[in-house]
Order: sequence, then structure tokens, then C-alpha cells
Amino acid sequence: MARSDTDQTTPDGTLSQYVYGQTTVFGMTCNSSCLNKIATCNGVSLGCANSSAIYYVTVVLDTNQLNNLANGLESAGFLTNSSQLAGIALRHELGHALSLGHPITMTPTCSATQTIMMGGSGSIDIVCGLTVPNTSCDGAVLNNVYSSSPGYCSPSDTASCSGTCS
Amino acid sequence: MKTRVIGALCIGVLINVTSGYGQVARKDPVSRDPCPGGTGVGILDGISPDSLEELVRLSDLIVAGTVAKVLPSTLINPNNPSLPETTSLISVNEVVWGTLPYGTNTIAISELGGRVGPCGLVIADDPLVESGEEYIFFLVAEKRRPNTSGSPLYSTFGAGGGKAKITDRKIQFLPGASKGLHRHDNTATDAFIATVKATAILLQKKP
Repeated sequence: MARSDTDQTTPDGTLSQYVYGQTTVFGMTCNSSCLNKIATCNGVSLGCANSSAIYYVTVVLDTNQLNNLANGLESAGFLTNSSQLAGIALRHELGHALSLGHPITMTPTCSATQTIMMGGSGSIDIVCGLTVPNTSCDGAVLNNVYSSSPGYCSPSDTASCSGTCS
Repeated sequence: MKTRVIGALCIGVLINVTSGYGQVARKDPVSRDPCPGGTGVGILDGISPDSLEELVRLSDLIVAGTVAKVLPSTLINPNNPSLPETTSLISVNEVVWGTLPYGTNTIAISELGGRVGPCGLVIADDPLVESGEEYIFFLVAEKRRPNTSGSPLYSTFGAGGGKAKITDRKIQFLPGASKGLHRHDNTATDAFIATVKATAILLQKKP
């Protein structure tokens, strides 16, 4: 992933042992100066920054724990390495950033999105016994979560808020 | 080696478009402060034991204890104000498996979450312990953090399965624990401790 100006680095030991990833979502209530105002990006309206909007998301990956997990999986006979695992973990955390949780039920077949969100293993082959992902349900599920396209404002854009809304 | 924090992934605004009807007024710049105030909700991902056997096998120390004191939260890294941790002192009522350092009956546990300044973090399925609560703790020795607590430092195991709360002499794993661990919910504390001890013996786990 390309490094942006807002990336940060932290020393080893960021997360707890046996924990390799964490996503934290701050709701718009954390941004009181813009709460219930219309947000704009480069002058274009993004919609209402109400209490159900996401304000800020951080994703933390712990490379030491990912390395440990990769070694453990390799010992157990799964062909993976820490680089592959980091990609899997990052995709999983990005799912959390979109407010997707961990699926509760394990089904014989699952979609690519479900696979990514199933405990972070990420391998469709391992989780579902499939080698080809079934993505037919993903669009419907995500459309249900996001009935309208979420707004986005990149770090280099000018974001502001004004007026009132709810 | 460094750990990458992908800060501000969706920085500023991921907006749900709803009924915006405000009038045009003064424009305020959107804060890009990673700690704007308020409390973020965190989700942890890590090793989550599917069974009590696996949890016991991977734990360094298993104790029944009471939360004696919750210390002020601190930042793991001062450059990351949205990632606090909290250390709590645990009065050990019974060592279920493993060995406490000689001469101590109090241990410290470190958990992700807490509040430092205006910025807080709550782990959704694994909230911080509170004073007076009783748990069965499944612990791993914490050697990666500086320990200023004065007691041996541990962390609860993995993401959600490392502590089972005791209420009315029955145990209850936290929501983040696996189905295999939740099978033991509502078991009488004494019976559960006996099961853990028997499991450790079967696994030939050395104290």
C-alpha cells in the first residue's frame, strides 16, 4: 500500500500478544465542530455529518504478531508467509473500517467478503473449501449497509463543514 | 522493525448521506486530528482459541482473581494518541495453573483501551476490567512493554477469550470469545476451575 502523508509508524509491541490487528472507528460525535453540519470536500457536498457517520478510522497491524502467526501456520502445513498474511490482515481490517463485523455462522460456502471477515484467515480454500470465491451476495450486502455511496475526502483535499442538518 | 499504522484511512469523512437541509453559513475546517476527542470503538483480531483445551495450552498462567485497582491509562506510543492501554492490579484468589513469582499475590494485567486526555478507546467485545470484578484470567507473560506497576505483568490471551467473568459463582466468557469457549458459560466456578485443571493435566502442561 502506498504510504500517505497521514501514515504513522509505531515501535514493535503495539498490540497485545497473539493480537495482530486492530481497527478503531471514531464516529462523527467525536468531531463536535462538524457534528450535524454538511460536510464538503473541495467545495462538493458529501452529505450530513450526523451521529451515524464515521469520522475517522485507524488500522494498526503488528508485524511481529503477523510473523509469529505466519510461522505457526507454516508449521501447521499451510503455505503462507508473513507478507501474504499482512495482505490478508489488511483486507480484513479494511472490512472493519467499513463497519463490517465478524460473521457469526460458518457455512459450507461463503462469499469473498465473508471469507475476508471470518476471523482473518482470509483463505477461501481453508475457510469454505472453495477455490473460487462466490461474490454474488457481496454487492447486495454492502448495498444494504451503505444504501448511498459514502463520501470520501482524501488527505490532500480541503474538507470543511457548514450549515446544519440531521 | 516498525509497525505501520494506517492512520486516517478514511480520514475526515465517510459520510452517510441523509437529510441535509441546512443553510449555507460559516465554513469550519474539518479537523484531521487523530485524537479529536470522544471515544473510538475498536475491534481486535488475533488468535482466538476454538476450545478450552487450546486456550489452556497457550496460556502461561491461569488464575482466579479480583480486580483490586485500575491504574490510569497510558499511551503505548506517544505518537498514536488513539491507542491507549490500561494496566490493572489483580489480587489472585487462586492459582488455577502455572506459578506466581515467589512472595507475591498480586499481578498486573495490561489491556488495550482506556482514555488519555480527550481521546478514548473501547474494545467492543473485550471491555476493560473494573475494580471489584472477579474473573478467571488466562494470561500470557507480557515482556514487550515496560512494567512500572510493581507487580509481574501479564496480558489476557488474544482477542476476547482471555478472561471469563465470574458472576453469582458462575463463569461467562466475553462476547469476543469463540463458540467453543462459550459452551462453558454458566458453569459453576468451582466446576469450571476443576475442568481447567483436568485439561491442563491431560495436556501434560507443566506448572
